[in-house]
Amino acid sequence: MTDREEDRRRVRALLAGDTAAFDAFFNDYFPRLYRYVLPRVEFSIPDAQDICQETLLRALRRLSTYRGEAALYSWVCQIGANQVSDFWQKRRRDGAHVVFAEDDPNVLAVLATLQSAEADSPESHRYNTEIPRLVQATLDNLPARFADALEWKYLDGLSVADISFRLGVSTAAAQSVLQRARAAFREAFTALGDVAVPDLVSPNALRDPEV
Amino acid sequence: MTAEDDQALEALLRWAGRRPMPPPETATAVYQHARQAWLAQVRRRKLVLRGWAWAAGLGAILMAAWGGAHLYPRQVMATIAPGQAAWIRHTFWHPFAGTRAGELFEGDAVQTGAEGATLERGDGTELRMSRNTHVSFDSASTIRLGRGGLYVQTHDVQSNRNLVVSTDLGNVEHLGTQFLVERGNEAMVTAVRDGRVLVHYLNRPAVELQNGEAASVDPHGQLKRWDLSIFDSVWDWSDALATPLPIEGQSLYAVLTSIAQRSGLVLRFSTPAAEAEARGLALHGAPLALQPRDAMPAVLATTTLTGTTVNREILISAR
Repeated sequence: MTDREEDRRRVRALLAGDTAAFDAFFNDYFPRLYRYVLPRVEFSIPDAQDICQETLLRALRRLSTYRGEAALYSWVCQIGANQVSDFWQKRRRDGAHVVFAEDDPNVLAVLATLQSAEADSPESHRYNTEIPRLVQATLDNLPARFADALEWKYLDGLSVADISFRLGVSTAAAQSVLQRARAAFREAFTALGDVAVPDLVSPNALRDPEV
Repeated sequence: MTAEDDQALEALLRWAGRRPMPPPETATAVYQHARQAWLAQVRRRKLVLRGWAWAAGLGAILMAAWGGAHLYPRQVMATIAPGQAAWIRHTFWHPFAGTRAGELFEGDAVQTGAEGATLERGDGTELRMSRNTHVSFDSASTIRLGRGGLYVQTHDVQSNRNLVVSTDLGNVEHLGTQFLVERGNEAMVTAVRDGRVLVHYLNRPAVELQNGEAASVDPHGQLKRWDLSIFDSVWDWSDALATPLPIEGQSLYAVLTSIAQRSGLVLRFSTPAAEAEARGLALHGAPLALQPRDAMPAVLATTTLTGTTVNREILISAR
């Protein structure tokens, strides 16, 4: 079954009221959505919670309109992006007269002088913050089993046999999933890197695999 | 994939670190809220779907009824002329089919009140219902008489060969042209005016009745039979329901033939001259709404002919 077919099957199950499908939907998509929203609301957990909640409610309400033309996560994520946009529009309107002291440019300049002399250069700071976020965003946009397989393999150090057990497939199939996950990650990360941080992603950082 | 690539990927992922998970309390709060809203939405959706299913089912039933009535119309068992005091109950299976004036279909029932009513079958057979009579059309060939009296006058014996008038005390099988069945409080009475019928009752052998004969069957299965007089009063109510006899422009011969036929009698002339006179004489006037015994003297009154009834015959002769 392809990912789109899997998405459509999941939507049908949700529309039919399958509670197991709801739990799977929530467990798969909420963490990814949260990671997407959190940095966009300046890491405000209550705001991220409100936006994620509203996004999921809207997505569930509109499920019958999902046609499977995009990945289900991308579809949910687009609703989340609209919610973030609404959030900032409202914030600008409501908060027009609220200015935090630390947001004043002069205060910021003073605060900047308090940084240690050993602080990273702007490039290295950007490198240290942007690249991990890009890696995580790339993982979040891969099919869930690809991202999980890569984390299990490279962060948790699981064997292929263990990964196959967690995925519920044969060892050969797990090997295939890993192989495709690596290829998908490399392709997506390189493309994203070229657009987002072209000077920070080395073209040789991930060479073509020779599997 | 080379080991070097594998190590580079591992290093990149390790440097980026594990994707952060939302705080458990946040996940729990969002989960509970989203799940509650989703369940309410599913319930609403199911209610709507159920409503549509009911509506679709109802629509299908109506379409089927409409289709059954209009695309595959059933055979009309009889028609009842408008203006007659009768109540019609249409069967469930074709609720719309009988809405056209007075058409009765298989399964339909008719009930008369203080006055009788006249029905007509497709082949011209006349069905006269006495007052307080209940009749239902079980099939094309079976008429169930619940109570009251039913008079049958056919013009085409062959097409009605299988016609049966059925009561709880027995069945009367039609073999002739005019007969009457009454289901009173005490018994089923059958009278034959013309032709013959077979009376089936209990498990006894069928009894054949000829014209001029009558029989009754009581609830104990006792059968009594007797002879009828030529203008017996048993026919009075059915004759009262007969359509008036048209005479305008008709020959005397044609009118006498109709009277004889309605009476179950044979028309005879004493001489060829008498017959020739009857054939050559044209009548004028309004339709005759008279009993047959009164109609004959009425039409002969202004002629040189006279009539007598002897041995189930009407004999016309010169005065």
